[in-house]
Amino acid sequence: MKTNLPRRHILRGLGVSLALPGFQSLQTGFAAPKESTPPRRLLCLGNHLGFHPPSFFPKQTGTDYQTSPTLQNIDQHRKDFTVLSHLDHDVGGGHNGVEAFLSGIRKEESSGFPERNISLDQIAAEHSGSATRFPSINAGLGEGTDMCWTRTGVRIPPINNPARLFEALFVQDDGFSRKQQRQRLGEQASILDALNESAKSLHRDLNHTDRDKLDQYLTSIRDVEQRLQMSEIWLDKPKPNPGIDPITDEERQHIEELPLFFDLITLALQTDSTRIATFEIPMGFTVSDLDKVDLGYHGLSHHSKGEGKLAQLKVVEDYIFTQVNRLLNGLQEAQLLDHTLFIMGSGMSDASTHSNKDLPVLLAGGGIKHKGHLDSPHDHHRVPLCNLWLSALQWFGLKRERFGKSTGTFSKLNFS
Amino acid sequence: MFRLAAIAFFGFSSISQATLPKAFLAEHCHQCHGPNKQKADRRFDTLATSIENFEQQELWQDIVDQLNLGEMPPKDKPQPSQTERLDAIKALTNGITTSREKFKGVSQHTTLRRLNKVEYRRTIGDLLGLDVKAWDPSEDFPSEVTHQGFDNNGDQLVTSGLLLKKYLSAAEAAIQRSTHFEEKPESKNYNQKSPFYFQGKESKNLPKLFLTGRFRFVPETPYTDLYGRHYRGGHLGFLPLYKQGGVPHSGQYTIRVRAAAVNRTHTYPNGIITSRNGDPLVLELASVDRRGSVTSAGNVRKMVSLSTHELTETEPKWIEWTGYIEKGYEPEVRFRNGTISAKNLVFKLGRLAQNRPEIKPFLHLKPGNERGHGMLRAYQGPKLRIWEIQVEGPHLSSWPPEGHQLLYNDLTPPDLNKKTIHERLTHFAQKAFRRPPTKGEIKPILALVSGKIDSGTDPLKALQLGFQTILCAPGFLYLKEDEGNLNPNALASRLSYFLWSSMPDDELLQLARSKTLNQPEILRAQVDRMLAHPKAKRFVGNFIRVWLELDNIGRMPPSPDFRNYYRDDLGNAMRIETEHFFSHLLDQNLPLEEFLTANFSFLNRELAKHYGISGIEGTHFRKVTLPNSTRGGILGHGSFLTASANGVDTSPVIRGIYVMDKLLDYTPPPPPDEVPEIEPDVRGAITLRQQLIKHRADPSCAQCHDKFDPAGFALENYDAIGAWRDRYPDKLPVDASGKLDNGKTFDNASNFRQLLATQEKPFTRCLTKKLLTYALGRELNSNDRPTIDFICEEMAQPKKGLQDLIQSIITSETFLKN
Repeated sequence: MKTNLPRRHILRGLGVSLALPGFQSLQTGFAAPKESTPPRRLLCLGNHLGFHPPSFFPKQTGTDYQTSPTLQNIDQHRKDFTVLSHLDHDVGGGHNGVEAFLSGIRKEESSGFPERNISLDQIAAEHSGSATRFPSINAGLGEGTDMCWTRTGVRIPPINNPARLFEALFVQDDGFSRKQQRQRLGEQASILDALNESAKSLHRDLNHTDRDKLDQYLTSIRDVEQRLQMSEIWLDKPKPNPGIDPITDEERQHIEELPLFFDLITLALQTDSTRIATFEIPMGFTVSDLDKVDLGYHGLSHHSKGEGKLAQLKVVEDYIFTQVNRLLNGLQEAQLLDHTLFIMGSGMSDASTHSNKDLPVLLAGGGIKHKGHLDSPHDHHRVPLCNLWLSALQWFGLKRERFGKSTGTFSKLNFS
Repeated sequence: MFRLAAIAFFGFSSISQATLPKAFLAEHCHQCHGPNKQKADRRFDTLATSIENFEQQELWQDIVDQLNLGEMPPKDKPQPSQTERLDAIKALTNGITTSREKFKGVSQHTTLRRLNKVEYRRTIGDLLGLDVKAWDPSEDFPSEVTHQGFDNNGDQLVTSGLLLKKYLSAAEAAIQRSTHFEEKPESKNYNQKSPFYFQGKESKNLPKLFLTGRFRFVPETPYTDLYGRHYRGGHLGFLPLYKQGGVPHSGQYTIRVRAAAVNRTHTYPNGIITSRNGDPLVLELASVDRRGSVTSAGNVRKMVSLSTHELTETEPKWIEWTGYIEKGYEPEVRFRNGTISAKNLVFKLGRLAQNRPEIKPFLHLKPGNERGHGMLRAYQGPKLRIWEIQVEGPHLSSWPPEGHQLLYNDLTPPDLNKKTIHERLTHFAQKAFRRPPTKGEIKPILALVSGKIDSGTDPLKALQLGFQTILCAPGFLYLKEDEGNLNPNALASRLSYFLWSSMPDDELLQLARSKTLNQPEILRAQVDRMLAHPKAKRFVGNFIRVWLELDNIGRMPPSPDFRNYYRDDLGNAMRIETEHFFSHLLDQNLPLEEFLTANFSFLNRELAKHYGISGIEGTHFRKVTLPNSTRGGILGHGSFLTASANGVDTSPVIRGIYVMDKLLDYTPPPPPDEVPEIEPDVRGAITLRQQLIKHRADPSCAQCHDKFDPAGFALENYDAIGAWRDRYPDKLPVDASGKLDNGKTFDNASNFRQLLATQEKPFTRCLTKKLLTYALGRELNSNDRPTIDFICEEMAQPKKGLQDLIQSIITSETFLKN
């Protein structure tokens, strides 16, 4: 009979001193004294079909720019945001290039990069994830837009049911179900131990490339073990009181769901249920529910400069930005805006040409000194958008030198 | 074949070494592929005199291919003499032949290949005897990484913590579903006569579907009418089973409905009713999962379509269906091809049928029950009339089900102790791993379960934890093929995952055990058996999906503006057409050129109408001789044409590349970075084709574009969902003429198809490579050339067909080795 401790015990016992990758703050999460400055948050909003560039980008640069038709909808916040032009990830692929918005790297090229195509929010989630119940909340309408990617190159499907998000955030599991959950976690942990041993014996039998593949499996085991540990710790902590009525599970139009999600995300940040949230607006966003719109969103975005379609596209983009305005108002009221970096944009600029160049990017809040319309070099010495993402991560608290395809930090904005 | 090369070698004895033709390359190639420029990322001036490693072999192969095809040097540059070219080709070919011996097997190993989503689902289904249509264990798994469209590339498939967590849940659920210690369930009868909507006391707590509303009322008649396709007034729920939470056990059920078709032909003006006047009315039976979901009408968590039935008479008759319904699901009856919805119908009647005497009395009413009900009652258009619904089941032929037998045999919970449990686990592991497990693999699992029992866990629970662990172990999740000749079990698995997308059956495993499976006659006989088996349908469906990248259609679905695509369920119909077509060529072992030239296809009424072919009735698919030359072969298939468009419009470049890549074995290099996008602009009277031609005037662009644009132009008469058009939406005429790279011209798609018919050899090569890639689960490379060449030569013999191709692949050295 074996006498060595199951790995699980060893992991737990050494949790204090062992620097588990990415979860250093596991112990400090709630053993630490209440923080004197509010923690920083990250909120990312991505739209699949871009924003019509002539209507989005203002003509002048600097802080005194005249607002553009699309940005008009959030102009009341102009001191709190920066709109950036001539930034992108130097990838192509049209629709297939949109997935690189928060990572800078397309899935198909990701195996060449040490961190594959992990997205900005997931890097942030690894860093601060254990301090909150949810490392990150990734929500969206419909199928989303492939925006969030894990370290192993797996895409995170967004939560698209507001009732379920409400449940996850605010509905406490009862005592009995918690006991059951704890037991279940224990069972799963034992299974993982057995799988680890079983896989290791197979490992010896394999050739070099097959071993690398099996290593991926072994890494997955470790990954799940860490998640289980986190789940167990959070089991007994009570969930916050939302202060709003429960959201029932029923059929809603996208235009009803969107503001609901924005409210939930604001609440989630406010109650420190998470410090990282993302939201995705897909190609299938049913814009025909809006007044004066009777075509599909994808069809509209193929405007081919036709007047009729452009007019309807404007209705859609105005709607989105009106909602964003409301979101910014909400964040301000909740006194979150100064500590939340709000990133918004798309991995596509003009959907009519399927261009992934010169993406629409907007940065708001975060307590940084905003610069109105900030332009970057057009032809030579272009600045990678990943530089901006790197600066954002550093602002968030990560001590990193690189992210994606970055060549340095984004010097034109002061992020401290 | 190696002998042929050797003879050629000795025939030209002036070249005795297989060395790099340096002088040739310096003169004709270094300008663009040397120190100053590296076009297409290729550089030749730094190559060694002989091949030093596998990457160099690949590059040599690349060079000799371009020379053989006459692609390089580019046509607008000075060309080498015929002798010079041939000498260079010879030297390179000899070099490659020699190095292939040296690098034998390099990059010809499929990496430890994980079961992908489709294969996981099928394997769980086959292993445990579960129907995996309604309950799909892989439903929420992340999507697989695809490589050139293929989602079973061992090297590319990724395992992650996220996926492993899902495996744990899926395995748990699978074991739960397979466990049946209870008594055999009795078959029961359930019955409901009209009405199907309720109000007042009876309606308390019922979902909206069962309630009256603006477009649903309790009729005075002994029947209820359905008016449209969507929920309001178009679907009926079955109350007896709703009240029970769906059917109590998974199994075979019989559903009977007494129904009739009323007013099939109507006299309403155009624009009111979106279905076709005179068509038979289609009744659809579906099973839905309403649990844990919604209170408003129609939003079920999941729906499975069970069957469709055409009705033509006003006299009621019983329609009947027997099939599988998943536990917890409820039946629904729907008017499949009705007008879009009852709500829409009432709205349109109020707007466009104002002069009709039956409608007039309701026009002055405000929108509400009186108006809605009044109009619908008075309406004289198509209605699906339902009197009664009956459900009977489950019909269970054997008990307990085979999955339970596999897990527990005849044991009952009191029989479970460490000994019997270890036996069951070892037995299950052998089945699940598709081979006997090694001691090291199974010991930790047995130890886990013993440990649980020792610490007080219920033995049944402990055993189930063991089963769950086995289903998450690498032995189950991965195909272990090692290197060298495949061992018999690995061969059985590779074979069954190729032709059945799932685990080998007992017959295959028996032959593996007796070590006779790799004998040619036995192997061929097994391939015949497997292709004739119903499971081979999975191969057809799955291969077509990855070959033609049909998942593109899901990612960029046709815009809702293409109304008839959704009304007539064309997406489904197109997929079925291509599956039937491929199956037919397979079953009949027809020559491969039929893919390009067949003058027949498999259509139902809706698809035929979409293609402009009249006279086809019924929603079932049957073989149809195509009447004219606008369709023929796979180029005319809706699936092919929709997958190569983007859901809104077409692009000749995208379609052209698609044709070349899927049919003619040519994948163009990616566009250079500096290419500006083409911006479609409706304001000028200029088509995309005209804009493209301007761009192609530049010879460096034309070099590549001349190869694939023509195919795209030829297909411009087909819109984004494959319908024929003579004009674009903006009224500009379609110009489908073009010139192939070899100089031959064509006026339209049908000419183009005839020219394509002469390309049998490239198509054979293309299909061979696609099938081989799919079968092996890895990318092909220069070491695979001899096998590919050999198979193509075999297929060039007369009377060879699709079955022969598959036999050739399976009996090839490449398939039998790793």
